[in-house]
Amino acid sequence: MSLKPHPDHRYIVALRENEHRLIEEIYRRYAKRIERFICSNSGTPDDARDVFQEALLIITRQARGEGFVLTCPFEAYLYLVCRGRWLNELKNRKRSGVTIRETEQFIDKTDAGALAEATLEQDERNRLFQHFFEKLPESCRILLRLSWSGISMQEVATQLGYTYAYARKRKSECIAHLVAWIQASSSYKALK
Amino acid sequence: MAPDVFIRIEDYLDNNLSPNERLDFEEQLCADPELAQAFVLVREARERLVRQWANEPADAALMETLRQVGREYFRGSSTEAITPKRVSLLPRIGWAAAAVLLLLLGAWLFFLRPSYPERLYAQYKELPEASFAVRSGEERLSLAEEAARAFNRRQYSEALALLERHLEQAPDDTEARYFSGLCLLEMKRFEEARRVFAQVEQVPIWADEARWYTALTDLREKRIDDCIHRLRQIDPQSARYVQAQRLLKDLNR
Repeated sequence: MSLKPHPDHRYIVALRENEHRLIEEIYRRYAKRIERFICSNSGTPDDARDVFQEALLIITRQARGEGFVLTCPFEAYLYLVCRGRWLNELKNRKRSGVTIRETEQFIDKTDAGALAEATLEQDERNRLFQHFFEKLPESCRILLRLSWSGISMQEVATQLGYTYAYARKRKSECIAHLVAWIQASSSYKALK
Repeated sequence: MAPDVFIRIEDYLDNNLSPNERLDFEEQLCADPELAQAFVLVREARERLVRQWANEPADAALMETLRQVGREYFRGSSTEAITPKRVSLLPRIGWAAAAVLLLLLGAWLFFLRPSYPERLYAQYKELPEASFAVRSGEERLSLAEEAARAFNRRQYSEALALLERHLEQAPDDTEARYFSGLCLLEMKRFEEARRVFAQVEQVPIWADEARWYTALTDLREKRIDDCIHRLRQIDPQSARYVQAQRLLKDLNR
């Protein structure tokens, strides 16, 4: 059974297609509310702008997944993603637990809550893998990027001036590093 | 886990195995949880990173739109930028201030300017951001998370105390040990920092990071020969190699 899209699904399409007019509508309708929320919770208008922008990017990445359909109001979804990002940011800035002062109430945010939760988790996982990939030596990053782009190892070896055997060996070493770092990180353990 | 294992995982994911080899590998996956865990991780890494790379141009275009539109809808520091500057007042006061500044600069150059090794240290240290923390349902912070926050706020003494408590519970957490070494280095407790980095160096994937920061510990303590010796030990394949070579050049000037 296919899910019935919420009328606000048009915002999802607009973000995926980078459609200026509707993106502006998103800002016009929701920016002030998010600014009020951030500024009521130790943030500044600059923080609000960054969080809003980042949340829209995270939502777009999630919405690129196959079969993504928005079944809840966009406002609730956006608010909860912004809330999650801001909570994380506050945790980064402060020592102890953070209490959030809500500025919006949604009658039924079950759908939006689950969707925002999943979106934020995917974002955390993406950041984690990206973070450890960036820590690899440059030679590893180039090798993995090439070999995971779909071309054969023989072609990768030729492009990098390696022998085929060395390219394979080096690739396995690079992946071993990446895997070891990720497995050892407390962030990964907490996400599992 | 031996790097050879990852060749087989990659061959499986790239469809480079014969049907019999695939079956054989799948049986091994069922029998060996460690292999299965590594397999899941490699597959996830590939999927996530490849998707991120494919979307980089679209992300950049969207970010550009968001920046443009965001400027119109959020009042923030961008509005401060267009506030007209105040016209300066008495020129003579300006000259006097400039003279005082010159005197202060002279005094700083002669008496207070950090030593050359200390300046090199400041230039090269580039302390990483601690990121033990992730978003979770719980709003209480673990010791490691609290330590990471303190480290990122540059409160090294507090971060060190928290890391030491965390390490009592998790003595194998090399990443936490590495950050405790960085705290000690920032606090100028050089001998202790060196001892911690020596422990971190025992873990192969952290070895070059540990060597790099041991070299910076030596640099900061003005043990230049030791620093050079350390820098030369850094593997050419390491992410720190280029920086190590640059620092070697600066030290030989």
